Amino acid sequence: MATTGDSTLTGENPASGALPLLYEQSSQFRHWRFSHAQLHDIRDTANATAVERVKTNYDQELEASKDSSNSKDTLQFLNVDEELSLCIFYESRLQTMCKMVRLPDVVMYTAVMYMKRFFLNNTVMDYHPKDVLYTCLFLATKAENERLSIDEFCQRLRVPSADSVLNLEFIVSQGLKFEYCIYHPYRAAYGLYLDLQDKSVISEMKSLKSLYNKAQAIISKLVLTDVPFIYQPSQIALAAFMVADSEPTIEESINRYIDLRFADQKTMLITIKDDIAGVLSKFKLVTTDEAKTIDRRLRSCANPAKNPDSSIYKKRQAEREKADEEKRVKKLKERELSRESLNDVVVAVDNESDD
Amino acid sequence: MATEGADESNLHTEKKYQKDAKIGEGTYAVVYQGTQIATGRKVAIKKIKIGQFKDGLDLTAIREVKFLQEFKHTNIVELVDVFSHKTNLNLVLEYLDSDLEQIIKDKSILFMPADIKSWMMMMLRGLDHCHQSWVLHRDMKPNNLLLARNGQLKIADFGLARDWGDPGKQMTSQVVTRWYRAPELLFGAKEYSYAVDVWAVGCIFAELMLRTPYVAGDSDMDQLTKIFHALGTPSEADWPNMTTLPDYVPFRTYPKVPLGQYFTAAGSDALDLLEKMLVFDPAKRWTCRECLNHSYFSNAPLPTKPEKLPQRAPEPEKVADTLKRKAGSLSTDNDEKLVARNKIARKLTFED
Repeated sequence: MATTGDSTLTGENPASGALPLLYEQSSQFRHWRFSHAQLHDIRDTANATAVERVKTNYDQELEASKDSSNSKDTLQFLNVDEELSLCIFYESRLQTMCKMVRLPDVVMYTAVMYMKRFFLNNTVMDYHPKDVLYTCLFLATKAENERLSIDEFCQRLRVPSADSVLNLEFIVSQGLKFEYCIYHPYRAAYGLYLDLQDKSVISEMKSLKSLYNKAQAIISKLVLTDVPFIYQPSQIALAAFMVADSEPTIEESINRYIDLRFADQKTMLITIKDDIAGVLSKFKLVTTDEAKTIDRRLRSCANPAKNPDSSIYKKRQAEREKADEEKRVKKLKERELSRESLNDVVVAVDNESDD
Repeated sequence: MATEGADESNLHTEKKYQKDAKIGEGTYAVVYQGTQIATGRKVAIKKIKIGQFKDGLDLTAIREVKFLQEFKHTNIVELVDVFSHKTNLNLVLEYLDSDLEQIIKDKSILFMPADIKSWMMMMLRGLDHCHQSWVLHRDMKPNNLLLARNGQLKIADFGLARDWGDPGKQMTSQVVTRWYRAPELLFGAKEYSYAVDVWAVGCIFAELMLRTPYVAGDSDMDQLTKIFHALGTPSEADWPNMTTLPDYVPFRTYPKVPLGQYFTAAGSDALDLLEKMLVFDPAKRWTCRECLNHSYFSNAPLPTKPEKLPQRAPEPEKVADTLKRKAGSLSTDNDEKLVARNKIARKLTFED
């Protein structure tokens, strides 16, 4: 596009070639990408501030309830690892539920990612993962075009209370920074599966299909780890193919494929694969017993300000209602005032026209 | 400290904006003019009342937020922020003065061919960005194309948008306001592509030249009749899979009339591009990218600079029209149909 035309129009002519990488514009890339070390720090800080806050609230609760039988010194708060274990336990429960009610993998993956994003900046001492789980899943069905009505949702998943699912929708959305778009490795894995056929790297269809299935299973396992916060979906998908089968001929084929397609990035891809393989080998599912132990502890250190039965909750609720009422009254008064002054103007105009 | 954890950052966001005058109210949302306090920037705050939805956060709202969060493009409306207040969802959007429909309808404004070219280019660039990200807009029409004071055109209203590209995934055909709805949708296609948006853009292109809606049917059947009347009834050769579509019915054979007979003032390059956008077979309809590479855009006259484009005097109430409606109690692509239909019905009443 030439000379006299507008430069802001020509500047980003999509026909001109160099396109910005679409994934790098995504909210997932911009806001939800961390290193192992960053994740560690974020969780450490979040846990420490949560503990401080809950402690303060316990003091207030004791004061408000005039109960001196319990003291904050006897409270045992959850540490970062315990919080994380409890989350992983409920994330894997969520996966089982999705399988049982036959929700597609993308819905499951999105829901688990919603939980992970939410609990990255929030603590289980404020919001119990067993509640957050359903809201994440319900939101994921909406975001992934698998929408169910709330009644159907509760019936199929045997959720006792629709309200508990809906009441957390805003809280969870806030925790996600209202960023609902999740990019999945499944699509990349499907692309690789097609490309592997296309390049006839693995000639036998049966072994390729079984490799693809194994890669998908690995992706579903990796979503329980920190890997989705660290690597891009396509990198995760390729790593899943690389570690899926230790059969030497398959391994060799995949290596050949990487030489063929991504030779210039091979070193980086191997580093990523090694890191992901390391995470996988260390990863352990959390057993029901382990979760129960943590949960028992959690009951004693849950934030009283989030418990509707606590004195502090009731006190704050009353304060909130009072403030709202005051605001309402103030607004009403303002409106009356402005109506009065409007009347004054009207009267003044009337007087003028009388003259 | 009354708020903790998740709601803390929300409160922080809320405090960054000041709500000023209400500039419009619809059934589902209220639009306020607002100010970003730190910068003094004028914004539009679209407050969606969630309380009334039985199924919680409304699907249209989730879709709109989901997609707008991903798009940062000159020709797509900017979502500046999102926050919730009690049971309301608030979208902070860039403030825009008018929309293309108002400009088309205001007969005191004269369009030059270079103006039309400029709007078409911006429209296709914004839409191309959506399609490159595998998102279909599914409601392209003049009053969803907002205009900034500097003349930039911005695609708005992503309440019907969805991701696309999974082969075999069924979608509802009840999308896009009727006058802009592609023939495959009118025949009930459940699998469709970018081509539905390009058809709509073709209709808008024609409307910009004619200053009146190009094919304005009053029912789905009438819409098809009018399309075939205008462009000629397609044969099996023109559109190989037409007869296999779910709601296909044979139509009277209208002859193919050269577009030039109707668009007497248009240049041959403009008509050639229009023809490429209104190809019946969706598989052969041009992509946005192909359209942008058409010689029409590089031939003289070159597109008008956005800031030199015709404008109307700002009327804040009108802005609200484009923002305020919407947010029905949706749906999936199964029951999405119903709401999409409601929404379309609601929108059409605006247009009459």
